Amino acid sequence: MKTIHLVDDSATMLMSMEMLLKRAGYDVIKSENAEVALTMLQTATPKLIITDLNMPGMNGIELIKEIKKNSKFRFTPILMLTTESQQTKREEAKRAGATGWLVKPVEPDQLIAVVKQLVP
Amino acid sequence: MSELLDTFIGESRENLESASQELITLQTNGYDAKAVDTIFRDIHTIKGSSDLFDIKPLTRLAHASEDLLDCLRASEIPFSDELGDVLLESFDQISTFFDELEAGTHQLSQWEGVSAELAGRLRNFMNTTDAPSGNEATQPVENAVEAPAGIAAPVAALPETAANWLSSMSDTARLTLFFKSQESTRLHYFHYTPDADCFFRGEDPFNVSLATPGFITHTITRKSHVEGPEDVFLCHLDILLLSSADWDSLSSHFAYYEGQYEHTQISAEQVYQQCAPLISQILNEEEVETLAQALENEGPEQIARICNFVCASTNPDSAVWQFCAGIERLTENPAMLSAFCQCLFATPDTAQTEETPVADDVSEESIAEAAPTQPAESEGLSENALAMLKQQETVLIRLIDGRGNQGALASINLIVSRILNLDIVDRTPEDLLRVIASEGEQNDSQEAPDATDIQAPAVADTEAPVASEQAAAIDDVSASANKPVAEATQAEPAEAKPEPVSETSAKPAERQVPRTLKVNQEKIDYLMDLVGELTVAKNSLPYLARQAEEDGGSRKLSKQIKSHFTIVNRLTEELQSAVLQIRMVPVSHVFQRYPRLVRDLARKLNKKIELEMQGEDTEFDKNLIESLSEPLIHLLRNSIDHGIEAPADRLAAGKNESGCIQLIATPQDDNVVIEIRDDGKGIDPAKIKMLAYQKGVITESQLESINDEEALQLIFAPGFSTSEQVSDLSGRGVGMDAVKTMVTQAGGHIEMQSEVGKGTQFRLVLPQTMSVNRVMMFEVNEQMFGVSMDSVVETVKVRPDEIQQIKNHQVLVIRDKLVPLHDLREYLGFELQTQNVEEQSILVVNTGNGDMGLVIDKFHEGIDVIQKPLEGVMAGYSHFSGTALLGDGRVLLIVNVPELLSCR
Amino acid sequence: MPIIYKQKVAVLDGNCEVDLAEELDAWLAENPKRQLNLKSLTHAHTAIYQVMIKHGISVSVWPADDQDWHWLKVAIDSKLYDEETNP
Repeated sequence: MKTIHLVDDSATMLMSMEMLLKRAGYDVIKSENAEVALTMLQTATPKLIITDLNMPGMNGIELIKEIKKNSKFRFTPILMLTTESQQTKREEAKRAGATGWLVKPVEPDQLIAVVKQLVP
Repeated sequence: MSELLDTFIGESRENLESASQELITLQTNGYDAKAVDTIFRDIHTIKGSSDLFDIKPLTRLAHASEDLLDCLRASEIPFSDELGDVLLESFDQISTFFDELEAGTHQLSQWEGVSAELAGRLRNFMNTTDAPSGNEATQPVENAVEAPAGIAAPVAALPETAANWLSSMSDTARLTLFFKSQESTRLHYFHYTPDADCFFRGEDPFNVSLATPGFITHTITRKSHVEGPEDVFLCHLDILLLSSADWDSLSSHFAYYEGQYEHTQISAEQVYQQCAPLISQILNEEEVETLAQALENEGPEQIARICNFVCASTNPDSAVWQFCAGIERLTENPAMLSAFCQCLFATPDTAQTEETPVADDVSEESIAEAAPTQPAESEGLSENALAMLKQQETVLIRLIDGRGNQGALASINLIVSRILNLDIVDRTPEDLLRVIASEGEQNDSQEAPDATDIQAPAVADTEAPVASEQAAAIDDVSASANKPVAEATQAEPAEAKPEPVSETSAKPAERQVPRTLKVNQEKIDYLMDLVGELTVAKNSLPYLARQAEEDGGSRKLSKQIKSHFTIVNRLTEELQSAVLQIRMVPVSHVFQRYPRLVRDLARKLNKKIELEMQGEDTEFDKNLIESLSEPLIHLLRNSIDHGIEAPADRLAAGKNESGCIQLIATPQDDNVVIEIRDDGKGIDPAKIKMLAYQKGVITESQLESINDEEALQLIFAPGFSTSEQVSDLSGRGVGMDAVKTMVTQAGGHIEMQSEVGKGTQFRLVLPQTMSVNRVMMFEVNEQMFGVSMDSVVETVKVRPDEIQQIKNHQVLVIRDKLVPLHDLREYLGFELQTQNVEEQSILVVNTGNGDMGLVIDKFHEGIDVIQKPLEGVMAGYSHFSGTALLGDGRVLLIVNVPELLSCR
Repeated sequence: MPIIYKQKVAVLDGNCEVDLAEELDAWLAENPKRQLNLKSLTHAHTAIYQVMIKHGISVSVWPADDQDWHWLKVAIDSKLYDEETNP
């Protein structure tokens, strides 16, 4: 099953992305912060992880680094949610091992297009 | 209101509340960086989520607040009480927005004014030149220009890799490419060199390339420098790629891979150059001779006709065929055909024109550069300037179409005025277009006499590629769906608004790690009680429905109440079931005490015993488990005390020194089976018989007659207890019969098997949850009966004289209604009451066939019971729907009223 | 889908993910005459293609869809990994 793991401290964001992804035929699991995400990842094997940058506790980039320490996810694509102005953060994310990013507000078509590319 | 909006408002209110509190604290206690950061995050979240909904005034206000807070936390501006006040005012306003959204009374037009005003005040604190729409205004200008971020300096000659690739292509492939380039006028060439470790970033280069918009073809090539060639998880290969899409789409597609590719625009001419020898060769072929002439002199129709003819008589796999087919396609677009012809017959020099660098920098300097100090006699604008003007045209066209951000108009006015050295006047888009067009004409007319309009095809001179370049660019931009528009206008609202959650069920299937809550058990019990009460309370609804119909004359209302009753009924049942589920806990809850117990007992008795437990995760109703605890302990004690032998005895019997007791819990359908097995000495039927006889449980004759199996079952008989073997351990006189009662009361049964010398096995089968029924107890002839609370309407006591007779039936008038009465004594087969009583107790029930009154002796309270179905002989009787065990050991027969009354 | 390894042919089915590359590489290294059946292949990660190209494998059956697989044929045939042909 093609599962996508969403990490964001906003329930609204989680819900809206989940709706879009499910409609596109993907399974979705959600975590409201990095710690919970890491716990879930002990057992889950999503095909793609989408994480917000600014979250209480561990931020998105730190989360990406943590995930990449785990060899189970060495090839797993990761996207980070950023705002328009956070250019440097995107580069940092790539250096941390992310595949790419999505700029908020995320356009539904774009989200699905990118996801379909990364999770064929 | 959609579920998503609900969530958003709910979540945002919390954030708003928290932010407001923090802010107030801040004002009281003074500046605190952490607090500011917290407030920023709260508002940032609200702003982020509000983007999903098309509520511009709300987003604007949130955005302004967010920006201000960002400045604050970056220490770019000082905090002041005044600033705090305006922020609070904004938060309050946002809260009001939420209120109105929830109430459905929102009026966006009114919001606009309020929002703009507050946002303005907020931004004043920031002291930046950013007007509220500042961001948006400058953006379209930047994006209006096709700004290829990764563009390498365009080269006149093809990059070496590209040239090599093209020359290595087969003739047909090259021709295909050639015609593609004619159609698209310029192609994009990528030399994609993925990092060796790119797989570890989740990248998949070959597929990125294959999915490129406007993909024509690609080829794989070795990297110039390979690291770790043995490692399959490093990327050792590069990709050369050709695409006909526009730069916007392409740069978007490759956004994540910047730095891993080199990009070059390739013009049709450059491709032609690569194909020239081949094409000449083809044109020299006999069959194509006429075509060659036609291309030079004739019009499209004639050319097409000839091509058709040649194709019909040539091998489709040949280059000639390919060529002619391509030309024929080209004839559909006279402009392109013309351009191609020019290519063909132009001198070799002209083909090598410079690529116009597409302007990617709209800073003041570049505008100044581009805008020539124009002497009176127009020298013509520089290429850069022209290019920039053309870009503005694109945006203007969009503006006229009604798309795009109108705020861009001001910027465009500025640019155009600067370039053309005109006065900055607020021209309309149409005006601007005219201005640009006339300049274009002027320029073209000077350099290219033939070109009269911007969309003119390439003409045979140095400036031609520029015009065609731009023509293509404009075509592309206006043709390509939404990309530039999207960037300029911040996402088309219609698409951005997610649809209401219609397809997701109330509980979306999530694979989440189960999260637990610690709850006080009393709360759950209270919940159970409430559910029980609800069960009774809902019963009055059908009654009221009837009232509505009969008294109020409202059939409709009655139906509605009844249909709602069905819903409430179902919900109540589900609620009951759900609460029961809450009470499910794993048996380990109870089992965990046992190892200790066994160890202690064993030690005291100097025996060696191992306790093996299995299935501790099996779930069970908490109350049930607790009530099982005692019986289980008793059984365990029995095993330890009387079952397992002393080590010496065991050895003598050829067994292990250590005895083993197994405690196994297994789910089985709706039940849980708990087994206690030991490998002790078993129960001796003979001994049991003897004991039973001694205690008077069986008679002497029975002593002779019963067989071993029956004998074993005697241990469950009341009055039988192993008191002779009572030790202080298994004392307390809890006999096996008590165990059996407890088990039965819990709705289960107990079995036993034993073999002398081998061991004993007890098997308890219990329902996993109690299916709890609430029944009303009543007494008839000093026997207790129960009736399902669901069917009880009310209880009344009447004087005998109130009971009337109508045609041999007893009836009662209750609130002007006739309620037929039935004497349960009669129905239950008891003697009819002969004595007169002062008051008659009547239980009014309804089982779907109208009310009826049951004459009984005494009312008793309503209780929760676990209803067991009738067994054995009784099973055939439908008058009773089941039995239940009361705490005092009595059996309650639960009456099935309709059945009982229907058969006398 | 995981790759099905038979005696002389490996069948690639559906979407072949990056992890499968290691095993495929080892399997092909054991016997250069082994072939690949790509009939049901819908999608493969770069790493998988890379392994195919590295071994210059022989394809017994090409994918059933009419996508352009020419690029892969060319890449495999060019013996890109061969130092002699591609110094």
